[in-house]
Amino acid sequence: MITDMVNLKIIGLKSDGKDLLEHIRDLGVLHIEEEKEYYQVTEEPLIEKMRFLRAGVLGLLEDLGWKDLDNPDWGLAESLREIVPLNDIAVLEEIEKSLMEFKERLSEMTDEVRALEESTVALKQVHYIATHFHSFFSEEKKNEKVVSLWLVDSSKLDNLLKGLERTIRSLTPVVERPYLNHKAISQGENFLVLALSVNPESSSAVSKLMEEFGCISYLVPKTAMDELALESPNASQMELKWLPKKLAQAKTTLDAAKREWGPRLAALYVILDEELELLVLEKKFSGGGELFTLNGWVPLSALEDTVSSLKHRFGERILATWRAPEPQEWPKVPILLKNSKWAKPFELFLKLLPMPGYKSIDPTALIAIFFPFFAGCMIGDIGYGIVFGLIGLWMFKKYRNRSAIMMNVSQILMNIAILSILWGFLYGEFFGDLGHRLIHLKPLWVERTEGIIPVMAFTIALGMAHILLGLALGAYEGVRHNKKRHVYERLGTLFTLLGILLFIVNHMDLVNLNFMWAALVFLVFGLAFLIKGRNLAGLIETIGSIGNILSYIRIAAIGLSSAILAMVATKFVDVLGVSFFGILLAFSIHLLNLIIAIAGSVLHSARLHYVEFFGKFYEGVGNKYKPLKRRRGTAWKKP
Amino acid sequence: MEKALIGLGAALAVGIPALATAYAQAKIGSAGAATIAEKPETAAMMIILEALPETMVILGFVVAIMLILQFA
Amino acid sequence: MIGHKENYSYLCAALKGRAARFYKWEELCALARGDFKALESEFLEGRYRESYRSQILSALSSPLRKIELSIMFEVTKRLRTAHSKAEGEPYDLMSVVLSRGDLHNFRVILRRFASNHRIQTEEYLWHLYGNLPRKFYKNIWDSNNIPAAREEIYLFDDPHGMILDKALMVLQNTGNLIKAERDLILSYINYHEGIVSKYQNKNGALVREFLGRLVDLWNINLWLRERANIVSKEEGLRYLPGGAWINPEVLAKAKVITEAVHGTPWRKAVRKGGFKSFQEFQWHLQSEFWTWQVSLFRKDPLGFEVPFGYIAKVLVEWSNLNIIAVGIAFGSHPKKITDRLIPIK
Repeated sequence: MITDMVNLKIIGLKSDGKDLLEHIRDLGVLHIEEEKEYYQVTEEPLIEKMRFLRAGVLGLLEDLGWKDLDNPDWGLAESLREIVPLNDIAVLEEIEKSLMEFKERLSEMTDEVRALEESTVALKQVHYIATHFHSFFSEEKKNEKVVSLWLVDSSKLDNLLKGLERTIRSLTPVVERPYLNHKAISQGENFLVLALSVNPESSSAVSKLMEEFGCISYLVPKTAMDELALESPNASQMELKWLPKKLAQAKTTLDAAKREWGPRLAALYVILDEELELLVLEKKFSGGGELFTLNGWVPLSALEDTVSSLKHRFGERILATWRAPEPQEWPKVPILLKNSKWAKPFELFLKLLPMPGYKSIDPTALIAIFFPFFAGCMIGDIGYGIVFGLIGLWMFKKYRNRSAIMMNVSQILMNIAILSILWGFLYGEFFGDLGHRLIHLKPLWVERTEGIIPVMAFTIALGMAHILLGLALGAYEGVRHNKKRHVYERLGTLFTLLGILLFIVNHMDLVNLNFMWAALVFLVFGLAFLIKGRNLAGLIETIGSIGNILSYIRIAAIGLSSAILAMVATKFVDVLGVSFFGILLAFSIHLLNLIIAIAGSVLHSARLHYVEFFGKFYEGVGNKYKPLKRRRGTAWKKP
Repeated sequence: MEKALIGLGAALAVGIPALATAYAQAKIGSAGAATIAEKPETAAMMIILEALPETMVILGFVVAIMLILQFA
Repeated sequence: MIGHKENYSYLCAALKGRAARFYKWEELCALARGDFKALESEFLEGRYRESYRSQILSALSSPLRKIELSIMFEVTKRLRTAHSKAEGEPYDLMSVVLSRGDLHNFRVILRRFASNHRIQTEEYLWHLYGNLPRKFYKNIWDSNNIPAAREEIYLFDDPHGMILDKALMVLQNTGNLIKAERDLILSYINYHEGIVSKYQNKNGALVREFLGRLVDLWNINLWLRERANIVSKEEGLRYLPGGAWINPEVLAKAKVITEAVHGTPWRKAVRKGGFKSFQEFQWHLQSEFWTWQVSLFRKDPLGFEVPFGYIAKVLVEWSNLNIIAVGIAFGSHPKKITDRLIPIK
C-alpha cells in the first residue's frame, strides 16, 4: 500500500518562523519539497559562512581519514546544540579560525610522518652504500688518494674504465706508475655507484672525463650523514635503529588526533548541517511581508496529531490548512510504503528500484505471495526447508533490533523455508530420496524426476497466471493515470494471450467443452486493441509476453536439477556403503546443493519478478518520503 | 548407439546455448556492474539486460527434454 | 577469450556512466558570466566539491589558488581512478595516453632550465596523472642547475625519467630549447611506440595516431617558427619523422601551410584560424587536436575510443575551468573568457 498524503500549509508570523521550523523538525513528519537550485548565492552572510564552514569541516574529516561518519559523538552534538550559538557569525569565524589552526597542525603531523618515512628509506640507502665502500674509503685515504663517487650507466662501465686508464696513463709521468682503483655497487636496475680512487694530480682531469661521459657526481644522499657515514658506518646504523621508534611515535600521535577529533568534528558537522538546513528553509519561506508560509506533505494518518500539536504550541498565531493532492500533483507527492506485518520484509525488493508513483500499485504484497511460492517450488524439499528455516530463525535472533535489512532477509528466508516444506510434501522429497528410503515418504502430487512434463506444464500455467495478472494490473494503472495507449496495449496482449490459451485448451481436449468461438472472440478483440494501442508494434509485445511465459519453465528446470543432485548425494552411500567416506561425500554434496538451491531459487525468483512481472505494470517514478527531522541515530547520511 | 546420439543431441541442445549465454552474460554483467556503480537508478534496467540472454538456455532445455521424451 | 586480456565492456560502461559529471558548454558559459562568489559557490556544491572542501580550511592559499588546486586534485583523481579500472590492453594504452601529463611537465621543466629562473613562488600545478609522482617533479624543480636535476632523475631510476634526462643533456650541451624539445618529443614517442607496438589492432592504431598527431603538431609549430623567424633554418633542426598525417618532406617544401595540411584533419584549423597571429593559429591547432579526441568518446562503446575520449574530456575541462577561474579573478569580460575556451559542444 502507498500511504495517502495530504498537503499541509502553515501560515504564521515571521517572528515565529524559526520556532515553527524547530517544532516541525522535532515532530519529524513534514516532507518539504526540495528544489534543485543551481549555484545560487544567497546574500545572507551567515548562511554563506555556514555553507563554507560545513563543507570545510567535512573536508577536514576526510583529510583526517575519519571513515566512521555515521557515528559522531551524539552526546557532544547534544551539548554543542545547547551551548554554541551557531547563528552568530562571530562564533562561526572563531570556529573557522581554530579549525584552520587544527588543519595546519594536522598537516604538520602528516608531513612529519612522511618525512620520517622518506628519511628512513634514504638512510637505509646511505647505510647500504656506506658499509659497502667504508673499507675502500679508509684504505685509499690512508694512502693519500682522492676518492670520488659517481652515478654511472651500467652499460657504459667497461668503456668508461678503459677511457679512464688511457687518460691516467697519459697524465702520469713516465717514471711513476699510473694509479686507478675502483669499486662499484648497483643502484637500481640501470645504474651503478662507482667509487674512483686516483692520485691527487689526476683528479681534476678524471672529473672532466667523467662528466663528458655523461656520469653524474654522486653527492646524494644529502643527509647530514653523508661524509660521516662513509667514515663510520656504525653511526648510520645507530640512526637507523632510532628512526623507526620516532616514526612509530609520530604515527601514534597522528592516530590519537584522529580518534580524538574524528567524532567531535563529525558532531560539529551534524549540528552545522542541521542548523543550515533550518536557516535556508527559514529564508525560503519568509517572503516579503510579515507572514511566514510553510508548505509540505504529511501522511494522512499523522495529520491530526501534527495539527493539534501545532495548535497546542502556537495557538491562534498560526493558520493550518490541508488538502488532498490533485492528480496533476501526483508526480510530486512523496511516497511512503505501508504494508502489513507479513508483507513488510518484502519491501526490500523495491529498494533496488525507484519508488512507484503516487496512487499506483505497491506490488509488495504480491511479491510476498509469489516470491516464496516460486522459490519453494524450486527447492521443494522438506529437509532443505527445515535447514533454511533454522538458519532464518538463527538470523532473526541474532539481528533482532540490530539490523533492519538482516531482519527482513531472515523473515524472507523463513517464508521460503515454509513453502519449500509444503512443496517438499507435494514432491515427496526429504533430502532427495532419503525420506522415501527411510520412511517410505510418498509424493502427494508427483515425483519431480519422473514426471517432468506435469511439472513443466504447471510452471507454464503459473507463468501464464502471473503474466496475465501483471497485464491486468498494467491496464488498471493505465485507467487510473489516464494513459489510454497503455490500457489498449495491456488489454490487447491480455486478450490475445487468453485467446491462444483457449485454443490450446480446445486443441488438447482438456475440458469437455468447445471453446473455439470464445477463443476467436478474444483473439479478434485482442488484436483490435493492440492495433489501436501501438499499431503493429503491439504484436511484438505479445510475442515478448509469450517468451516471458516460457521463461517460467526455469522453475521446473532448476527444481529438477536440484532434485537430481540431492539424489546423487544419497547414491554415494549406496555405492560406498554406510562408511565414513560415503556419508562425508553425501553430506558435502547436500551442502553444495543447499547453497545452489537457495542462491538459484532466490535469484531466479527475483528475476521472474523484476523482468517478467514488473515489466507489465511497474513504473518507478516516485520520490521517497523524507521528512524534516533532527539528526539522530541513523537519520543522517554522509552527503 | 541411437540412444547415445539422442543423449548427445540433448546435451548439445543445452550445452551450446549455455556457453553462448555465459559469454553474453559475462560481457553484459561487467558493463552492468560498472553502470550500476555509477548510476544506481539503472539497476532495474541492468537486471533486465543481464537476464535477456538466459532465454536461450531455457529454450535449449525445453528442446533437450523434448528430444529425450520423444525419442529415448 | 582470444587475443589480449582486456575489460573494455566494464571500463567503457563505467566511464560512460560518468559522462554526466562533465560541465556542459552552457554551464561553462554561465560560470564565465558570473562573479567569483558564484564560482566559489559552484565549487562548494557542484561537481568538484570533494576536492574543494579539503581546501576550504587551509589558511595559506588564496581563494583563486584554492580553486586551481581543487581542479588539479579532482582531475588527477578522476584520471587515476579511470586508469585503475582498466585491465590488460586498455591499461597499457591508457598509460601511454596518460603519459602526456609527464610530457607536459617535462616541457615545463625544460623551459625553466632554459631561462634558468623561477618566477613562481608557489609550486607549479603539475599534471600528476602520468607515470611520475609529485615528489619527482618537485625535487627536479628545486634543483639549482641541470646536473643537479639529472642526479635526481638518476636516483629516481624510472625509465620515463630517462626521457627527460636525454633532453636535459641536449639542453646542457647546446643551450637550445627547441633542440632539447625536439629530442624530448622524439624519445617520448619512441619509448611509447614500443609499448603500443604490442597491440596491432584498431585500438593500438588509435593510440599510434595520437602519438603521430603530437609529432604533426610539433612539426607545424617548427614550420611556423621558421616562417616567423623565431628559429632560423641554419640551426639545422629537422622535422620529426613519424607524423600521423603530415609528410615532413612536403612540409619542408611548403610555401604556405595549406599545401602541407591539404587533405588532412588539420586543414580545419587552417580554415578557422586564418593567419591573424602566430598564437591564434596555434590555439586553433590545439583546439582542433582536442576536439578530435573528445569526439571519440561517443564512438565504439566497446573500444579504446571511450577511455581515450574520457581522458581528453577531463583535461579539456581542466583547461576550461582554469581559464574561467583566472579570467573571473582578473575581471576579464565574459565574452573574452568564453572565446578562449576549447569548444566542447
